[in-house]
Amino acid sequence: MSRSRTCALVSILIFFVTAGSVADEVKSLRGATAIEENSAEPARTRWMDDKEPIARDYVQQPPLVPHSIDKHEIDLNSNKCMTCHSWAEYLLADATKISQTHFADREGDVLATLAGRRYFCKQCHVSQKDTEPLVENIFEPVEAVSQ
Amino acid sequence: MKLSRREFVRANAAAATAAVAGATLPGMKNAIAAQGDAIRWDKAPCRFCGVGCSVLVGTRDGNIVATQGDPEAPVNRGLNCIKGYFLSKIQYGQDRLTQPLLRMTDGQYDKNGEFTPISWDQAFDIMAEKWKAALKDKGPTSIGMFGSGQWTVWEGYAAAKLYKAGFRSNNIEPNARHCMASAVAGFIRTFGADEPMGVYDDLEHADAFVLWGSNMAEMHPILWSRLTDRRLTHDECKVAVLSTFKNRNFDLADIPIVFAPQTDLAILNYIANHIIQSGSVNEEFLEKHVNIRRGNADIGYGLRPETALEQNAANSGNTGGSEPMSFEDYAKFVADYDLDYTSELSGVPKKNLQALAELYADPDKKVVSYWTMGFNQHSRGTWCNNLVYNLHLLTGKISEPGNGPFSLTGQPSACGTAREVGTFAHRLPADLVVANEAHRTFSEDVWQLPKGTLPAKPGYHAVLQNRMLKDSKINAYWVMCNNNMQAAPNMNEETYPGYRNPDNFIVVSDPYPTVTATAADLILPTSMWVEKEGAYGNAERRTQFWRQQVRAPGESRSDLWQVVEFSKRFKVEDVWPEDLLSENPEYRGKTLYDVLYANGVVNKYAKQKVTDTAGNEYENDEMEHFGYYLQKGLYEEYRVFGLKGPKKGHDLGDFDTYHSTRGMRWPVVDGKETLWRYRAGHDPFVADGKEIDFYGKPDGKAVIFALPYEPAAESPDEEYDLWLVTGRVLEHWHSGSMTQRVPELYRAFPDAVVYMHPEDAKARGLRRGVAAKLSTRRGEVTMQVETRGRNQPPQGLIFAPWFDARRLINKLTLDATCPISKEADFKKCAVKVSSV
Amino acid sequence: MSGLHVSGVLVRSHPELMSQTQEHLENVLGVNVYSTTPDGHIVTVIERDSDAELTDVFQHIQNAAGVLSASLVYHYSDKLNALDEEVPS
Repeated sequence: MSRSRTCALVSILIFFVTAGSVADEVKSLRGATAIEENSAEPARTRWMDDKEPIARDYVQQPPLVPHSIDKHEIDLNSNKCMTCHSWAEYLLADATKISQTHFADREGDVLATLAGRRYFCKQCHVSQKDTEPLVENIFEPVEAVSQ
Repeated sequence: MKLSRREFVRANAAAATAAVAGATLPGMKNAIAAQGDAIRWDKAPCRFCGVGCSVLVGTRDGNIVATQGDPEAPVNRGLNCIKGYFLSKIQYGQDRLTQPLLRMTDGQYDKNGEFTPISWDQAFDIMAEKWKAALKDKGPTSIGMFGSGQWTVWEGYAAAKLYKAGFRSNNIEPNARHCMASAVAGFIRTFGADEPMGVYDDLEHADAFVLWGSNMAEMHPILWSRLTDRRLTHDECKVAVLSTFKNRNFDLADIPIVFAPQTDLAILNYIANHIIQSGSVNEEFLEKHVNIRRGNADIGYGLRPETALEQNAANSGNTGGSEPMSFEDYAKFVADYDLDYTSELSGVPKKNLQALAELYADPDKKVVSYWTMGFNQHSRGTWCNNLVYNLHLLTGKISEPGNGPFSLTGQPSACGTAREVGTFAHRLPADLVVANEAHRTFSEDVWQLPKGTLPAKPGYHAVLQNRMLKDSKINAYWVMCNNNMQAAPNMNEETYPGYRNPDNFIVVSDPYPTVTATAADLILPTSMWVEKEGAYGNAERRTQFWRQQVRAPGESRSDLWQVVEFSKRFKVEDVWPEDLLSENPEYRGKTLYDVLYANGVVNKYAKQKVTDTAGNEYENDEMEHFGYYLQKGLYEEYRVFGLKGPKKGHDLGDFDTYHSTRGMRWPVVDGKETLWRYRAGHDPFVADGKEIDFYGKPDGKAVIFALPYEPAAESPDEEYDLWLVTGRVLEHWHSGSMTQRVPELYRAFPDAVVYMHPEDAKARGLRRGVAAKLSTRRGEVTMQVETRGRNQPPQGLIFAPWFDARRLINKLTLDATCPISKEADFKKCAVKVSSV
Repeated sequence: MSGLHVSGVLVRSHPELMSQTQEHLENVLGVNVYSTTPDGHIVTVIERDSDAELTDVFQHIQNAAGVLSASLVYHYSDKLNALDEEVPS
């Protein structure tokens, strides 16, 4: 395209962009529903099926759980997660084993078993519903991890 | 030099480890720098809750690329909760606000117009116009500010100065009024000084933990980790959990207690009764360190004055009053709360009540009581706080490792900013109050103001601000760093009409388009967390600093920048009365900026490089803009209140030390932090010769208050037959404006659901997974029913969280408050549930 | 290729025993010492063929003479085969 036509096209573009610039309608997470209005019925969502481990965006992120944990109880008497994810069971269960970091207590001493501070898995590990986020997130992972 | 992935990971490991130690890596660092792959790691307190974990933030090329738990932090030693682990993503929601937006039609401000981009200059133009008009028309009571326990320390301080000293208005309140006001009122009434006397170290020393209306497992997860570890490694340690519904904390409970809402008041009195009847009173402690008083009862519910409940309350005019009481009379008072009565009223089996009471009564058991919103967001919240202190004072179980009451704070800096800086309608920094002339005079001296500048009458508190907006008494209002349209109670009747009232001009500063922003007239794009240099103070009095890591997008500016820039638009003649000026003519012609910030103290520290111990350099956009180290100047001026003010024991350390440590717990004296307050050997302010000294009170003695059970403001009835309890969930912080924009957190819990008992659901033609309509006298919302999972309410009660902008549960809640603390009761009102 | 198992470990040593501790660590298979600080920190990176071996080495460091504490700061565990490929710049 010739230089002068490019200039003409560019200046037309600038005109349209600056004339009468109203912001794209400012929307909260309610989307198009006004505050006074009633919420729409929520769509049914399902937990992601048991799949391959979910990719992490950075190395330090605790892994997400690729299956429902609705019925996985953890209390004084038992820890359901450990029936598959302990170092003793993970091979048979074909599960990811818990990280080495989970054997250290607050002082950094390494224990023979899962440390008490790591006992309630669900404080850090959550499953995922099969649904699109309301708003896109533009966080960019470092290349080495994203491949 | 190119790196293989193996080498890259090794380099990352070395760099991460070195950063934690503050070490440099010669040679290696240059190689990485040349590669452009270097991740710079620096510490910051977490953006979220009052636990105040420390994290390491990894940045590269001006972006955050990772975060992790800080292994060197005493609070969390490398752990985070799920929200903390995703801090790196909270700033990257695609709809970040990047320019000021004003509602306009045909180029003019119009409250019903469309949001139109304008410049910061134009934004301050219209703000100044509106503020000056309101001040001229109705005076300083017609402007208001609603700030935040998520403000940094210096943001709160700058805002409090602007309002109280600049505009001479006490109408500045933090959203912390919604969460911690009852705790504050409880502290002041019992001890004469705010904030806990214990520290997190108690978690590693106690024999018993009692959780009162605290969902620690989800809301203070790292403290829960520490508590869990103590319980699992010491089998003789016992955990009691009290709540109005079964939740995740019950997974660890030895004594699980579900009680009828509001009857916590009775249970607390029963335990006091048991302590006395079983001969377990620590008589020496009581004699030396405690006074007893009967508190006024029948104090109303903080509703609008014309309501029947308020009209009929005997003491709604003197809610905090009390008179001295003998021990014998106190013993008689609590004797009414015997086992039979209390069990009947609360629905708790007798053996559980007895087991709970024994934890307190047994002189050999060190016990820590923890509470949060169950006690505080309560129409008798101040009483709950006073009553739990009674138990620790009767037994002398206080101010020592593993033994004492600990009020848990919800927000990251409700302590450090809102409470300690005093950004409340009735407060000044360091526990001073506006009503006290000596306190005002001291503040005027520090702030170099003419005597008589500061207003003496407390301003409108949070709930009252919304009422005053609706009634057109407040006409210019600035909301910063909170989402009050979503958070405040009774939205349909008060908050929403207040904001949309054509007499009012509402400004909202936020990084994202929240529900509150969309209800405003002017939106200001605001920087987040590590886009600015900041400081927070957590629940255990630990103040922690952080450096700016990245820049904010577009034209976003920090709350601090906004407040200080705005002050330039006012001359003292615009805001101070003529008689004040004629007596102090040297102030004439000065702007509020000159008086409040360019005052020789706040602007005293010259521009400098901001560096860490490894030699990395950091930006500081406010220092660049204003030309001096603004944060340091504000902080060092604020610090004087603690060091020299009329209320002792609030000393803070110096600015630079906080940047190089993982925080310090005040009072900090000679560089040393204080763990257990009021105890000799730990607290340097304890008078010589005393073992215990509650020096917040003139005679050094704490106060036991006799206070009764009184019912809730609105209980279930025939039509609205269920209790509605609101609260949060682990995965989302507050109104979800940050966490709902992180895909992993959103997918973990996308929509608010209503937890209810399966029989209650069935009786209403509902079952798990279907939509239900929840309605109260004030509003309605639709939510999916959940009859399983983490929360299992008893019959007669439902629980709904408030994180979901699409399901505004506060349309339903009631704006009843504790009449003393003015904190709203978000845990009790009457609701009905039906199919849609 | 057995994958990549790397830990960044921050060791705290008695300041007086620094050089002995550092020497000891350098002689442990899989441990690389990167840097030290005057207040007794030693920055190390462990690399082994499996997580189990990483744990063994970590425990060995914890118990070594002169070591006050060892904190696991960073942990990377991967079965990827492409570990020796170049990282794009």
